[in-house]
Amino acid sequence: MAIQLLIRVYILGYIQGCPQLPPPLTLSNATPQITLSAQNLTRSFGNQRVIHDLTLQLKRGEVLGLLGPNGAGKSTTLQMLTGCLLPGSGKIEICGINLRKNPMLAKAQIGYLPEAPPLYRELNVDDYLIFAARLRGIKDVTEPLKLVKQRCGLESVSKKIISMLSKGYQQRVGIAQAIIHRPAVIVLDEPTVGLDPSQIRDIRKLIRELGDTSSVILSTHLLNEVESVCDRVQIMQHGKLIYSDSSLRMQDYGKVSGFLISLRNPPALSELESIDGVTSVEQMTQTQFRILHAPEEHTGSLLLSLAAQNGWQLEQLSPLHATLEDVFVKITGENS
Amino acid sequence: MIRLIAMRELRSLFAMPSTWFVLAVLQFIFAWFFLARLEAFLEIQPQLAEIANPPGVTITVAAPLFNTAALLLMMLVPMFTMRLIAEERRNQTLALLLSSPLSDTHIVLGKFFGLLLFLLTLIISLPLMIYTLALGTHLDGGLLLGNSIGLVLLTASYIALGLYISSLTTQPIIAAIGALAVLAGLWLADIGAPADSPWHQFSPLYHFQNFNAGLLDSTDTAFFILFTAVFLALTVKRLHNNRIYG
Repeated sequence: MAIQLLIRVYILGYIQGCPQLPPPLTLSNATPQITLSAQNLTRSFGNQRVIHDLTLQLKRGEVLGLLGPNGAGKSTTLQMLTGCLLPGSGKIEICGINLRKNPMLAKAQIGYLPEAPPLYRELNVDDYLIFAARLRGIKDVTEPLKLVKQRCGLESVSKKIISMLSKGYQQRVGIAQAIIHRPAVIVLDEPTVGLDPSQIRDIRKLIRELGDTSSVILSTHLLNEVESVCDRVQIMQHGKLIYSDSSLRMQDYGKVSGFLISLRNPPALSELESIDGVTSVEQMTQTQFRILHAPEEHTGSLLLSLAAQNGWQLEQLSPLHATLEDVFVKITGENS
Repeated sequence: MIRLIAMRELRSLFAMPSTWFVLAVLQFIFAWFFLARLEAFLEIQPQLAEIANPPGVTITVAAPLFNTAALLLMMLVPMFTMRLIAEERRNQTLALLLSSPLSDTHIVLGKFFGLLLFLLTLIISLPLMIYTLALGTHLDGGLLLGNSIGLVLLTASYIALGLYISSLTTQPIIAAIGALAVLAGLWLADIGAPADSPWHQFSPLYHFQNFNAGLLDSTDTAFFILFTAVFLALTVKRLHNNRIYG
């Protein structure tokens, strides 16, 4: 029994790709392991400080979205996390290995897709991926190569020269090189930029899958990307983290109470405004109104009964949702 | 790891049609020059035979051929070194190397040996061409060997300098012109300076002259090794600074 457990732990350790194996199973090991931790990172270019005191943590099996307007410092942060840039101060640990003191060991656990995929365009896909795998110290490349091509849908183009591939395929090759060595931490800088909608869907699905076995951190300025793939969101602005929570709860942040209502035979605007609890009414079209009311009021049922009594001929009554977009604008607006 | 990067460098070079074009044109130039020298030698051979201690075929054909190759390489090597780091930076492929478990020294040495290996395939044709003369005459093996060693060391120093200048910029064309300017400057300082001027000592081509005459001088060998090592070290330093200053 104990041996079986030990074997399972070893296999798990191998699959997950961290060099140190977890200690023999105890209950505390069931809690997610921290694969990436960055503490108090700062970074300046010349006299301009672009990253202020940034701290973040990533657990195994988690997809973290780094969200922010252009120029917020997302790419710089990711470059520091992958060792392409040295932080001015602060500490980065990958699977518990200090990136600065032990870069060779720590970097073997990272897969990185920069903003522009780092492709040697004159090579064919197979040669390039084999090179990428060997760079990360993988000796026997046949199995990982087969697996990664299957995962990224590259089997049909494996002998093609990279420069001949379409943008979508090039992006896939870029992702493939980042995951071929099964890193514990996958860093993706705007992975879906410049792709068509169906390609975006494929890549998001792939990222979701990757999030099951490794930790993924991705930067984006697309809000629906965060909604669809990320477990957690951190918003950056002017080089600072200004918000951090799960992406579902982020929607609650800017919750509004209100309805979108369509009436075929609408009353005067003032009549709607005088209803109990209504704070403002905005006429969208001839028959459509946007009604905001105070929270915790039963304005919905009141509206329904009034519409029936007065013959307003109700066509539609739908509650308003806060979109991530609203929330994002609200959060970044509050902090600027 | 060094070998891996060197092999990638070679693979990329041979994947480009322009490489094959340059190789073909250079072989043609070398062959043309070789045949021209050989013809000139055959014409004056009867006169040479009358001199007491006549110069042999190796010194009259091979030495000038190597000297021309040394000059041609001075102009050619920057065309190859310009891509090494500048283009990786421009295409943003450098991020792959920087985020991989490699040290900066691995990257620099890999690129250096990759290009050196490539240029060796080019240089090797020279002694081979001359060796065909062994069918009809006796060759001075020592002179040939001295010239070959000298040319390899000279090429290594050119590559190290070109690699360093390539690491300073994002534009390959600036790297090429920069390396050419420095190499040409060193050469001009050599041929323009008076006979006992210290300026000669800075020029790789000046140090090649002893090799060209068949003389293996440890001073010259040390110069080439130092010259190469200094520029390789500077390149490593530059790559490291790249991570610090961005």
